[in-house]
Amino acid sequence: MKNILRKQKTFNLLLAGTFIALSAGFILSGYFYYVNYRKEYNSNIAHQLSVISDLKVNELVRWRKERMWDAVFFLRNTEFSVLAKKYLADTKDTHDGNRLKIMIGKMFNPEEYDAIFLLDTKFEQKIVVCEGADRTFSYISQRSMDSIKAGVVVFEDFYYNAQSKKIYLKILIPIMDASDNKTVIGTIALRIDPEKYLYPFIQRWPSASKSGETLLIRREGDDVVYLNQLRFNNEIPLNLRIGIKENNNLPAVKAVIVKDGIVEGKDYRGVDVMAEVGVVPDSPWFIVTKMDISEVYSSFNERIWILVVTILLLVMSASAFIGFVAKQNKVKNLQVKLDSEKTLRSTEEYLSITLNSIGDGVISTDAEGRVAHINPVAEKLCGWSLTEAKGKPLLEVFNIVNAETRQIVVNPVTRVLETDGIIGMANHTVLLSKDGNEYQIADSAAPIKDDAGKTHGVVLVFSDITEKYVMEEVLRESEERFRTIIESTGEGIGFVNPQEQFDFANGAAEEIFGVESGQLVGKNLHQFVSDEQFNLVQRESSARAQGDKSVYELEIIQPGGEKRNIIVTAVPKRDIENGFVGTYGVFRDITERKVAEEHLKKSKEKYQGYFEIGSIGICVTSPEKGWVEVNDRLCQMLGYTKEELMALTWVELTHPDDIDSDLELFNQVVSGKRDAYELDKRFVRKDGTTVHTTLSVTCQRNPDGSVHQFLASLLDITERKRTEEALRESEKKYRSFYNNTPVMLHSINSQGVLNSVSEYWLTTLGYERDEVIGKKSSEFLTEASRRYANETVLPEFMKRGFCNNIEYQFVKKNGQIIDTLLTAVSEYDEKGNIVRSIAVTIDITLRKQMEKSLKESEKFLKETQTIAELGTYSMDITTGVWRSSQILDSIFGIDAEYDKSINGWSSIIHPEWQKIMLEYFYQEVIGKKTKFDKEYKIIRKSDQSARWVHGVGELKFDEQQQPVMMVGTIKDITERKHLAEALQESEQKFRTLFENMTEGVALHEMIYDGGKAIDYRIIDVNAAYEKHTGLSQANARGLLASELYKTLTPPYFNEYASVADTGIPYAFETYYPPLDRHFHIGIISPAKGSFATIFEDITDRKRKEKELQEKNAELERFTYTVSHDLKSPLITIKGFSGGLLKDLARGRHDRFDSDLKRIADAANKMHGLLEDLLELSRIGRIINPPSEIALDILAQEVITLLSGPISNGNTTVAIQAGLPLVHADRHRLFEVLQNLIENALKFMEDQPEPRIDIGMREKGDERIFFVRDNGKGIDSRYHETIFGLFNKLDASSKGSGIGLALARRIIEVHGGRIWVESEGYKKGSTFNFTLPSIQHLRKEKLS
Amino acid sequence: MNGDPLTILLVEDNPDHAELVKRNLEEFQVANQISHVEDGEAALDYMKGRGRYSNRSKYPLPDLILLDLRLPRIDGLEVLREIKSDTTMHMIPVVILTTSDGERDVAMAYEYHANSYVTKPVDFDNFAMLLKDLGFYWLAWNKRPW
Repeated sequence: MKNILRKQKTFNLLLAGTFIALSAGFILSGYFYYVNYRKEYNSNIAHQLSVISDLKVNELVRWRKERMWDAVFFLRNTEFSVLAKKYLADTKDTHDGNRLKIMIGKMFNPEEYDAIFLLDTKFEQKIVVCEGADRTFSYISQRSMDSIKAGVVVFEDFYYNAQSKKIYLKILIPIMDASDNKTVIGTIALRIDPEKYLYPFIQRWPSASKSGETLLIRREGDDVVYLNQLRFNNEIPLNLRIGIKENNNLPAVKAVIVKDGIVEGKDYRGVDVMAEVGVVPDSPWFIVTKMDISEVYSSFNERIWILVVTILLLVMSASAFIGFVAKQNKVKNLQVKLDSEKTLRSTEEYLSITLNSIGDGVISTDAEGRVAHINPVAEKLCGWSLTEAKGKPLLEVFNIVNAETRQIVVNPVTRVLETDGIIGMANHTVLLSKDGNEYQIADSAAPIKDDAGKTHGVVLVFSDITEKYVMEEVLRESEERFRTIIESTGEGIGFVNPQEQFDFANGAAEEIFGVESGQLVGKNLHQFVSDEQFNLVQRESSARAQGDKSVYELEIIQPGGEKRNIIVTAVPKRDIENGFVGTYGVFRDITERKVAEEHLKKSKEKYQGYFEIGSIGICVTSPEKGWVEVNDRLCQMLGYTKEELMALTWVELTHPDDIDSDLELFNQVVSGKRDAYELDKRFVRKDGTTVHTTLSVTCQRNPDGSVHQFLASLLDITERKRTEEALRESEKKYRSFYNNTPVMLHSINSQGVLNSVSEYWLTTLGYERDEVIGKKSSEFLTEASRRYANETVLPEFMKRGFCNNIEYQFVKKNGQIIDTLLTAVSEYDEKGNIVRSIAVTIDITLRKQMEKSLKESEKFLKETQTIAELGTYSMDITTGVWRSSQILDSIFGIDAEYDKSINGWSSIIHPEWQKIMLEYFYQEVIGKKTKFDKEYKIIRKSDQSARWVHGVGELKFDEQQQPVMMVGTIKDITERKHLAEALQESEQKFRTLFENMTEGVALHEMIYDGGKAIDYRIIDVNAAYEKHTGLSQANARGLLASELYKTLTPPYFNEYASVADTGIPYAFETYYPPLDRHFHIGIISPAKGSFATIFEDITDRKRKEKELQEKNAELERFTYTVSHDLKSPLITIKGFSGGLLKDLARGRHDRFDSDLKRIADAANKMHGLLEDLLELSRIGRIINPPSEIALDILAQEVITLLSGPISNGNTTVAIQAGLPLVHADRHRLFEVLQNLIENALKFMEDQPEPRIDIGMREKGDERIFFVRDNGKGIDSRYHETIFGLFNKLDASSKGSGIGLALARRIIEVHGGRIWVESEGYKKGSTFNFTLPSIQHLRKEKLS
Repeated sequence: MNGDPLTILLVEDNPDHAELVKRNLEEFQVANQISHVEDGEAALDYMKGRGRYSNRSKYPLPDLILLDLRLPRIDGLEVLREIKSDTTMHMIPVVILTTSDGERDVAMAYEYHANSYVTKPVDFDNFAMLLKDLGFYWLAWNKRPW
C-alpha cells in the first residue's frame, strides 16, 4: 500500500517533470527555429533579390552587347560603305537610296530599333528607315560627333527628345570609307525606343510581388537619375533626379556609391525597402532591385505566427496529454477528453467522473438499502468492487461496528429513512473491510429525494478519520490498558522523583510500605529507610541518573515499625528537556513470597477477562520463550491457531531483523537487570506476511529472583501505520484532484444554486469560495449565455438529466469573458427527479483563440497563394476526382462545373504533352510512389491559349501503403518560360550568325596578372575560324593563346590588350607568317577584359593587289617607254630638220650630211623601237600551244644560229648533257635562249677565255635553268633594271635594250620567273630561269 | 654677270640630243664651256673630279647642270640625289631636261631638290627658245650665292 502510494507520487513528479521538459523543449526548439529561420529567410530574400538583379544585369549586358555587335557588323561592311559614299555624294539618286534602305533594313532587326538614320558628315539626316514615333532626329553632342569622326562607335545613353517627348537611346556608327578604312563618310544612327523592350524588361518581376521593382539609374554629377519608368511614380523617366549628398540612405544612391550588395534604406517614396544594388558592366548604368521591407517580412511574420501557434498547440497538447495520463493514472475511470470532435460522453461517464473525483467514500443505495453505486474510495475502504457490491444490502458491504463495543451499529439507511434527514454517524465507528482491515471512519448520510420530497435512496459519504484521532485513541487505549495492568499487578510499582518522593504508587507498593491506600504518594522514601539505607538509595539513584536501571535490595521499616526486605528494580525515566526526572520502581517483598503468589493467582484471574479483549494480543510466555497462554486476538494477529502457537517459541515467529533487539532486552530481564521492556517489533505471520506490533513485556519473578513467567501485550499497529499513510494519501489525492484538476467542477442543487465548487473553478473565475456558494450558477454567465441557459439548456437538462458540451461564456470577477464547454449530469431521486447536478466545465478560451488564429493563418495561407498565383488541388487517386482552388481554376481557365476528373485534367493538357503527362502520372508518380513535380504545357480552357504550368504534388497513403490522395500546387510559369525561350532564341540566333559568318570570329578573355595583361584565353571560335586558321574549334576552345599558337607572346597581343582595356574597336591588316596568309583583323571589346576578333583572310586580295601593282608598274613602264624612248628620236628628227632649215636659210652647208644622217638614224631607230614594241605586245597575246621540248637540243640550235659571233669572240659554249624535257612554246623559248646567249657574248669585254655554260640545277622540287658567262658581270644595282624595257646599261652598246624585257615577258607568260646573279665587275653573270613542271601545268589546266 | 667663264655640264645619253643642246647654247652664247657626259656614272665622276675628270681646270665645277633622267648605268634621279646631298655642290642649279613628262619623274625630281624640270620640246623652235631662255635665266638673271 505504502509502496503504491510512493510510486504514485514519483509518477506525478515524473509527469510534471516531463511536462516542463517538453514545454521547454518546444519553446526552445521554436526559438532556435525562429533564429535560424530568420537568418535563412534574410539570406533567402537577399539571394532572391540578387538572382533577379543578376538576371537583369546579364540581360542588360547581353542586350548592350547585341547592340554593339550590330554596330560592329555595320562598321565592317564595305559594300554598304561604298554604296553609302556614292549615295551621300549624290543624294538625288533615289535608286541608291532605296538600295541603302533595303540594305539597312536587312542588317538590323527593325524590332530592336525604333528608327534608323543615315547621316552625312555634317550629321544631317539623309535616310530614315523603319520610322518610329517620329522621324525627327535630335541633336548629337559635340563629344559624340568627335568620337564618330575618329571612327568610334558611340552608344548614346538615355536622353529626352523634346520634339517627340519621348526617351530614346541611340547608337551612332561611323561609316568608314571602304578604300582606306580611315575616313568617316557618314554615320548610321540606330535609335532605340526603351519602351519597346528595355522598360518592360526592367520592370518585369519574376514572381508576383506587390512592391518588387527594378530601377535603372545613372550618375550625373552629384545626382542620380532614374532612367526607367517607375512603378510607384508617374514621373517621366529622367525627370526624377535625387542628390547624392542629401540622400545617402536611398538604395539608388547606395548603388552608385557601394556598387554592389544588399542594402536597406528608404526608396524614392520614402518607404523602407530591401534592395540589391549593382553595376551594369560596360555601361553607365546601375541597377537597384528592391522590395518593400513590409512585403519582405510579411511572409516571415506569417511563418512566425504559425510557429507561435504551433508551439502553443504543442505545449497545450503536451499538457493535455500529461493531464490525461495523470488522470488516467489517478482515477482509473476519469477521462476528460478535451477534443471537441470526440465529446460524445455518456451520462455514466460523467457521473463516474464526478464521483470518482471525490476523495471520500461514496455509496448510494436505493430505498431498500441495497447498494446502487460505490465510488473507488469506497471500494477501497470496503474492500468491495462496484460490481460485487451492487445490489447487496448496505451493511454487508459497509460493515461498521462500534469501536469500543464491537457491536454492530444501526444501519444508517434505516436511520436516514426514519429521520428523513441528514445524519452524522456515531463516533468511534470502525469500518471492517472485507479484506480484514479496519478503518476508523467518520461518516454522514443523506436521503435522495425526488421533487415530491419522497426519499428513494440514501447517499453515504464517509472518510477515513484523521491520523490524530487514531493516535489519540490508541494512546488512550494504551494508557488505560497499562493503568489497569499496573493497578492490578501484585508487584509494588511506584514512581519516585529525584528527591526520592513518591509521585505514584500502586496498591501493592502501599502494601509493601505498610501504608493505607493513597497514603504513599507524597511520602519520601527516606521516611521508610534508615539513614544508612537512604544513602544506598541516593547512591543508586545518582548512578541511575547516568546509567540504566538498577536492581538492589533494600530494608524498609513500615510506619508500624515492621521491617521488610524488598528487592527494588529501578528504571530511570528521562525526558528530552530535563534529563533524569525520576525512577520507576518495582518493589518486591521477598519476605512474603506466598503472598506474592497469591497476588499472582488473583491477577491471573483478572487478566483472564482481558484476554478476550479483541484488539490487543495478550500472552504469557515462559522463560524458555515458549507460549504459555495466548488470547484469540494474538492468534488472529499471528495467523496461527492456539494449538499451533503453543508448539512454537516466539523467537521463531519474530521477524529476523528484530530478534536481536528483543533477545537483548529479554536477557536483561532474565539476568534481573530489568523487569519490563517495550519495543516495536515485527512478527512473521503464518501466511508469510509481516505484522507490526508494539510489544510490552513485564516479568513475574520467583522468590529467588529468577523469572517465573512473562506477561506481554501486543498491539497490531500494521493497520495504524497503513491507515495513517492511506489517510494522508487519500486526503492529498482528494484535495489535489478536486483542486488541481484543470477543470472547473461545480455542483448545483435543483434550484440551480451552487453548493460546491472546485479550487480550479474559483481560480479560473477569480472568486473566493464564500462569494459563490449559495448563488445561482447562471449568475456567473454572460447575458447571452444566461439567456441561452435559461431558455434552452436548462429546460432540456431538466428533461434529459444531462447536457453535453454546452458552449457557455463565463464572466470572471474582473469582467473578462472566457469561453467554456460545460457538461453536467444530475442525480435523481427514486422518482426520477433531479436532486442535484454536477457540472464539469472546460475553459476553451485558449482553444477558441487557437481556432481563431488557425483561421487567420489559413487566411494568410490563402492570401499567400493568391499572391503567388499558386493553385492548389487535392485528388482522390482511386476515383481520379480532384478538387481545385479558385486560383487553380483560373490558371486552367475552368469553372466549378468543369469535369474535375483524370479525363478533365488530361483534356486541359496541351496535346503534345498529354501522353507524356499521363505516363508520368501513372508510371512515375503512382507507379513508383514518388512526388509529382513537372513542368508541362496546357491549353487554358477559357481562351485556348497555350500556357506553361509547374505542378507539384505529394501522395498520401493508406495503411497498406497504397496511394489514396494527392495534394499539391500548380503554378502558371508561362512568363518565366517565355523569358527563357526568348533568351534561348536570341542565343540561338546569335550562335547561328556566329557560326555562319564567313569571317573567322574568336571570343577571348584577357588574362591579367597584377593588373597587367599577360595572355588571353580563347573562349569560343566559329567554323570560319577553323577554316581560316586550320585550328580545330574543339581544340581551340579554352586554350591560352600562348598554348594554342605556341608562341611566347600571343600574336597581336598589344593590339588586343589595348582594345580589351579601352573598349575602342580597332582594325588592321596584317601578314601572319606562320600561316603565310594575310588577314584583316577587327577587334572589339564587348566587355572590359574580353574581346572578340573578327578576321578575314585577305591573302587572295593581297596577291591580286600585288599582281595588279606589278601590272600597273609594267604599264607605267610601257607608257614611259612610249613617252620617252619614242619621243627621243622624234626630237632628234625635228631638231635637226629645224637646224637644217636654219642652216639652209643662212646658206651654211657644212653640216647638211651629218645632220641628215642623224635624222635617218633616228627614223630607223624609231622604226626598230616600234617593231620591238609590237613584238613585245604580241608575246602576251600570241603564244603557240606548248609542246615538249628537249632543252639541250634547243640550246644547240641557238648555238648553231649564233655560231658566227661565237667563233668571232673565241667563246666556248658548253651545254650540260641530259637536260630534261620542258613544256613550252618552242619558238619563244628559243628567243629567250638566243637573247641570253647574245647578251653573254656581248658583254664578254676583255675576257681572255670567254665561256658560256648552259645547264640546270635543282633546288627543292624546282628546276632552275641557267646561262652562265665569265664576262664583265653586272653591278647588283642593275640586277632589276636590266629587265626593264629599252633599258641599257651602256648607252653605246648595240641593241634596243628590249632583249631582256622580252625574255622576262616570255618566261613569265609561261608561269616561270627569270633573274640574274652576278658578284660584280668581271665576275661573270648567271641568268637563271624556271619553267613549271609538266605536272604542274596539267594541274593548272584542270583547275 | 661677272667676267668668270661660265660652264655648263650636260648629262645626256642621246648624242643627237646632246648635239642639239650644244648647238643652241652656242648659238646664243650663253656659256663659255659646255661639258658633255653620256651616263650617270660619268656625270658623278665629273662632279667629284674622279678618274679622267680629275683635272679641275679642264673640267671645272659647272655653273649649271642640265640632266637627263633616263641614263645608262646610273639613273638621272640618282645622280641628282648624290649632287644635292653633297654640300660642296648642292647649290649648283640642276635643271632636269628630259623627254619624260611622267608625273612620278617630276615629283621625284623635285623631291630630290631639282631646281627646275623641263621637258624637251619636240618642236625645233621651241627647243631653241627653251635653251636660250634657260641659259640666260640661270646664268645671267639668276643671282647665285657665290
